Amino acid sequence: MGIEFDLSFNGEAAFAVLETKYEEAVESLCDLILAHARVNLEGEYPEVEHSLRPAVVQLVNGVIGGTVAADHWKSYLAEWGSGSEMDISNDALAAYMASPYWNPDRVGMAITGRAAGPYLGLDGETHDKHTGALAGVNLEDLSRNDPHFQAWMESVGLPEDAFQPKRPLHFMKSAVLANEKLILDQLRAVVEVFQFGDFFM
Amino acid sequence: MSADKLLDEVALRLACNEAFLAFKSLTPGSSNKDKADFIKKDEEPDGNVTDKTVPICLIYTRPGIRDRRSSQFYNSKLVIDCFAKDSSSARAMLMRALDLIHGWSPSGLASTACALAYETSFKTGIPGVKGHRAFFDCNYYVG
Repeated sequence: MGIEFDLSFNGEAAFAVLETKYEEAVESLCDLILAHARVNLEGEYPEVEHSLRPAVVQLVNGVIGGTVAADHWKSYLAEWGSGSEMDISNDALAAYMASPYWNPDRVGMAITGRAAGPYLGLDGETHDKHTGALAGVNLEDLSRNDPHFQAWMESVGLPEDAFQPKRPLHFMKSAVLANEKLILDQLRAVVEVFQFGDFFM
Repeated sequence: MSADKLLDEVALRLACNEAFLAFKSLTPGSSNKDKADFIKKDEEPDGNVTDKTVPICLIYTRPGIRDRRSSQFYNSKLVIDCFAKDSSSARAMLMRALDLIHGWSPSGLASTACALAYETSFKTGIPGVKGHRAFFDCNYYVG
């Protein structure tokens, strides 16, 4: 009754919409990283490209999380390289060298022949087709210089670069670092352009 | 107002600069063909970059995104790759390009100044060739 003035702010609705805007922003920025990661693979790892999953954006316990992932095992090679070209600044390298995946006869980084017996490959499969005759031998040099070995490789259907080191593409690191500033700027923009005024009544 | 125009502007800026051309022993008076062979608007090293064609510079764009503040503006990503016989030359060449591009606004594009986003050396996979690369953010009007 009487004369009154009302001023109210629907905070619940406002912040619900703001959260939706952040979800959209996180999704489009993850898609951007995905596009960069894909093109950074330079067509050298089709399986990894194929495994690059679209960005997954989830609202879990009030936290908006976006993920871009390449879950093929070759993504390690694409990111860090292999053999003598491997990037040894990888924090996980020590863990790899201490794991069952690492060839114990390997001295230094070059791809080396394994001793006889089954071993667990990075692909998750157990391999046991080798004789162990080349245990401890630098296969990078051998496949590059020895015509007998090259002939053998051809006879068993191995590609020429089967034992050649692969350079690190750093497809994910490059995608992220090249876009770091842009991501932070665009996330800041979400709240900058948000119309809080729409929720005052 | 497009990637083409942006690359043209960048290539022109590099090709008119004495200090940058000097890396390939060229001058502003050298032929356009020589300059075009040195500064290529192409992302593909295959066919362009060999130990015979270095020093050489590749310029290209990478995926960008519409701006959230104003959807009429596009945040593009410019990349400059410098290749040379040794990494210090590649880096020196890239630093020269960086000086020219960072903080510069391409004309005719209604753009903000290009800003360096990330620079790094990289393994080229080409024997005898070293690479150094920089990414720039360049925001321009697309309508």
